[in-house]
Amino acid sequence: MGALLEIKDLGVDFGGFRAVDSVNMKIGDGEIRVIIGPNGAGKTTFMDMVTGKTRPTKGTIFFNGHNITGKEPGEIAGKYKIGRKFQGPNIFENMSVYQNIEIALKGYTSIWHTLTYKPNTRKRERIKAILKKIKLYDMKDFMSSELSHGQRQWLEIGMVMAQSPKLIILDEPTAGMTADETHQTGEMVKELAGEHTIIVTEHDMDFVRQVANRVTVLHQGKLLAEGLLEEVEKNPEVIQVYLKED
Amino acid sequence: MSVFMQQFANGVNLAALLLIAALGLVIIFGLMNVINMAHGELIMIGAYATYFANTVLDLPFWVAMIIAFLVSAAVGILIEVIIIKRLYSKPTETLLATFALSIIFVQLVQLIFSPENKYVAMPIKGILKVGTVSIPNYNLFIIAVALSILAMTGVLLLKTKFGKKMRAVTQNRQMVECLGIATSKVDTWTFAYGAGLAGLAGAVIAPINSVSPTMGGAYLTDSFMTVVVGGVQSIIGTALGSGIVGESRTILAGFSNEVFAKILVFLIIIVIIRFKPEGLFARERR
Amino acid sequence: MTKLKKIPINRWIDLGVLLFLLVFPLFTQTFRVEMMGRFIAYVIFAISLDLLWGYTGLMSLGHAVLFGMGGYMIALCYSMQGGVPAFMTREGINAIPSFLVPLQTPAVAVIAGLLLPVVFAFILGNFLFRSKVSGVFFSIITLALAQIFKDFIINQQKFTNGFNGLQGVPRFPIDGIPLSKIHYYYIILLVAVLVYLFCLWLTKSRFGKVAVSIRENEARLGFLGYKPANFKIVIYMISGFIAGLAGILYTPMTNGITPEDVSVVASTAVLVWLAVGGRGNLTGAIVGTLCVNWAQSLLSESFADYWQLILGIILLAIVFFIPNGLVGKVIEKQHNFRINRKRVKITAFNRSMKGAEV
Repeated sequence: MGALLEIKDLGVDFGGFRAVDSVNMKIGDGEIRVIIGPNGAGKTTFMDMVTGKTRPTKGTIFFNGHNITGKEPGEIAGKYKIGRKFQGPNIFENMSVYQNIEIALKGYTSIWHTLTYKPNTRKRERIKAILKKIKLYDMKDFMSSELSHGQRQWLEIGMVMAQSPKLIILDEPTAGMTADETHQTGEMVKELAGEHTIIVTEHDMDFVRQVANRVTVLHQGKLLAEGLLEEVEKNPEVIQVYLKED
Repeated sequence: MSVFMQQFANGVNLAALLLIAALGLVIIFGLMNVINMAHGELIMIGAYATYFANTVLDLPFWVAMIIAFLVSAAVGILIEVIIIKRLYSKPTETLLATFALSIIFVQLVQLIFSPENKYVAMPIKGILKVGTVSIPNYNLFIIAVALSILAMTGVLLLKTKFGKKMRAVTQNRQMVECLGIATSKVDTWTFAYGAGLAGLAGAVIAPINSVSPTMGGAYLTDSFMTVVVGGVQSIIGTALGSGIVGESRTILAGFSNEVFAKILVFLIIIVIIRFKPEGLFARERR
Repeated sequence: MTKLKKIPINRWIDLGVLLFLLVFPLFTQTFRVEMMGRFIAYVIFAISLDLLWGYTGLMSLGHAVLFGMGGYMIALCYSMQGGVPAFMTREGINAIPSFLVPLQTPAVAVIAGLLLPVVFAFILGNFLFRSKVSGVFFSIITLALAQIFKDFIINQQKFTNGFNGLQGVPRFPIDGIPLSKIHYYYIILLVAVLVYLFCLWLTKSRFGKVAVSIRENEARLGFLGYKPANFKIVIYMISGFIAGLAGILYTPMTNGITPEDVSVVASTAVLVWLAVGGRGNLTGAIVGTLCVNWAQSLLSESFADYWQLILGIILLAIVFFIPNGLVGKVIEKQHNFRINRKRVKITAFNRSMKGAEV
């Protein structure tokens, strides 16, 4: 199991403010890595750099052997197959649940493909399979604007799945969910692993316990601790900075 | 060479006019993020107020200028309260509604004053000669007005309590509301100030060409172009932008004709937007 | 039968309008057929803007420029049929310039009228859509464009006859005999139907959904691997093609084209038709264009001076009270009706289930 994502000395400087500072990370193929840390620790900025939304001012990001540092989001999503689910549900409210998944299907995003796209059984089955995994099959013809908050989060996870990404980044997927929805989301995420590699940023420790292989703790832009959740939970620095404040 | 010098001198005049016209826009568009398609008509209303005060009522020109400022500011308050406030955060609707207003204003003025051109006498006559270059004294007046308005706006924003509120609302509306300040009133008065500046522009422009109901349209696009080149949220940027647009257009017009100059400057602006969409002088955004 | 129920109500409106237009010449005088023919050309123009603005959210305030490019090409063509036209000789041009010679052939002029707006849209689109400017800037730039283009046309009077425009454009004569007004009317209608069907296909395809998604949530598309800038450019080009086509059809029906037809006023007018009718569903473009233009014809005889004012007030009222336009309102009502019906069914179903449980 080689390192799928290798990050060396990554940092970004916003006019003097170092949101992320010299972070090193290695994430293996098929792993579920959870990144935790207090608000403002740099988790989202870190994700932004991996997905191309923000350009790092130092360090490198290697994905599957390719250097993707500083590339455009469209390229990272399309060519390198890193899919991201954002913090707030970011779906297309003008379309139905089914159509949201359909538009996310990988391989049909160029102009030529959108003009020549023909829905066929294979595509339909794929979409239905995803809808079942995210528990939205029965809602497939509803407008996505009619979904509850938790369901919208699932829809977005479904859209990320439709991109057939190698690496899935989930930004606080259980934000705003009920305890029950959170647990269901945890099951979804575990099901995804193996076939996909997953990075999750989260605050909900129960969820972290449910899904994590390894955990990375960020604090003020720097890497504070890394390891299995039980080890990290016992780390005195981590306790002082993060878990105690919870 | 002397053609160039003359054109350069003329260009300062156009730059000053653009500055006065665009300053009102940068307050409304840059600070409040409101797209006001009736900006040109606020200028036009100021021009007509000047015509009415100066030509019809025979009041001194400087009085007419103040009246123009007040009239346009008053119209601005009406627009803000009745229309802009209701469409806050709906840019397409705001654009369409203010576009509709611009049509309505032009038609109303046409009905009240007739579509014929009206004239405002040149309040300052005479020409200054510097070497081979002739500068009408009125041009110097315009430049003085432009610089005063710039200074006045700067003082307003930086030194007064109201100016601080204006800037705070631009940066963080919610926080300002939490502090108990009625942002709604700040919006109205900010818009009024921007509108008043437009009226003042109209007053200054009135003696130069003629006053007509449709005079505002060209100033709308020119003001937006100036603001875009300079940097949407930057007042200094607008000042410099007006300088660049005004000078290049006038100098080019001296060597070809006005239409080609406009086209060329337009093309240059598009290229600038392509590579620096935040404007030439804006502070670097994240 | 269930499939028919699923057809949105506006398609029925489209069909109804088509049937009406088909029989229209049978019971009206020729001069009204001529007017309706013009308005149908306007409908094609409005559909082109609907693709760009209604579906993709790009509000062009200068769309008449693309319309005018088509119109001027065909008008120029027919102006040069009898040798060097008067407006050229007046400016000292005594032979047709070499770059205009190909335009003397109507077929070439039509192709030029279609391609010129496409090329223009391609170039402008590449500058505007590839930079990260917001939609407002597109509107402002197209507005500036409209003003400059009109100035340019008037300025180049040695080629365009300036203020007066180009007159005497016949209806595509075959062997010297122009088509009759009725025949030409049906040709315009045929082209309109073809354009409509094409746009219906386009908007229902995946491409069309991407266009709407650009309007709703462009950033998200980027993260899904799409390149929104490319789509915008292609849509602008398609829109330009159709607008040019509208201009080409319009000009012979009105006998000519003037700078007014490419002005800001003309660009504003089409915006109003779409706002009144409704954007993003094609039907609004049809209904809005026909209603506003007929109202204008019938009312401006009595209210000539006030018509623009009335238009402005109507636009303002629409923005406040019916922001989705007339057709938009109808579609909304149908949607709500269907949702309520679904709710009633679900409630009844749940009740019956509860009954079964007990």
